[in-house]
Amino acid sequence: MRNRAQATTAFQGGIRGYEPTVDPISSIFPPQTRVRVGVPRSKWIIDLKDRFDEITSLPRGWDGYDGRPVTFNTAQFAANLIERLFIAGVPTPNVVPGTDGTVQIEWHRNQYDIELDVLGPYEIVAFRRDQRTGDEQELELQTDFTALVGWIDGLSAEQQQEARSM
Amino acid sequence: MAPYDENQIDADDLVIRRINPQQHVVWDENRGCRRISSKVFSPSSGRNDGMSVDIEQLMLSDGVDPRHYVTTPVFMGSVAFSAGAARALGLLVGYDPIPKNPYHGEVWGGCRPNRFSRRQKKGLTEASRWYVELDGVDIV
Repeated sequence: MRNRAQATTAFQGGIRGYEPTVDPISSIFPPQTRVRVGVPRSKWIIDLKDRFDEITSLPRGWDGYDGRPVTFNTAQFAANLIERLFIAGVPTPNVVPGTDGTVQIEWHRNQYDIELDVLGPYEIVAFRRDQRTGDEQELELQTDFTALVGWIDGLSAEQQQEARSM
Repeated sequence: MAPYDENQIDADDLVIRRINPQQHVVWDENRGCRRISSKVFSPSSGRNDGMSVDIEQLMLSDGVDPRHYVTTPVFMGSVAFSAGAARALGLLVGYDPIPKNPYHGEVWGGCRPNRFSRRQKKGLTEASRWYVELDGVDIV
């Protein structure tokens, strides 16, 4: 389990620990597909294991139109991102499939809305709204995900208590 | 299909977007409710892809009950917004009939057909009303 101090160093110099070509994250066991993080450590990934299996196994047309399941590469990258962003005390995110094989990771907590739209490996549109101030930030991220660590830290119960005491 | 704006779709005509309750609904602790994810209001990523919708007026003209038609499969909910509201956000609304759905249309981004801005997503959410409501789920 990673604590907050450790988490603030994640992703500096790229995504340490993300090995898309050799990490056996995904494999196919018809009719179900499985997304696997090499050595899952965080509660989030454990909580989301079945969810990732579900969104990569969606039938064509799952959205009432021509929706496709989330692609393996995108799901694999999203799962690794979630694993690397884990901070104890922050609830497991919602994971929402897109029509086109993409996936969105989102939290709505502690007066923040955070949405990470994973369009593919190393292709993220990240959005945060602070409901207290109305401030909105949108970032297109490819290799440096450092900013996200601070965003997720803002969702923690500790930060919630600090905000309440101010 | 190349993005275009269909002049036979009037500003008041309703554009319907189907909602899958198992996939599109998230828990929002800030608001203390289950609600539709903003991901619902996203186009597909192909170069000329838009967001799939159903055009209500086409169904009405054919004597088809739109609420029955878009509730297929039966677990689907749906929201609707006016074509005028989408255009006011800089989006294009056009027909794109397909073999499985002759009432299928698309909503395209203005500058980038396959990408909606945050303002456009937020605007579509605010303009949307339930068409086939999902119990216990908010739109915003």
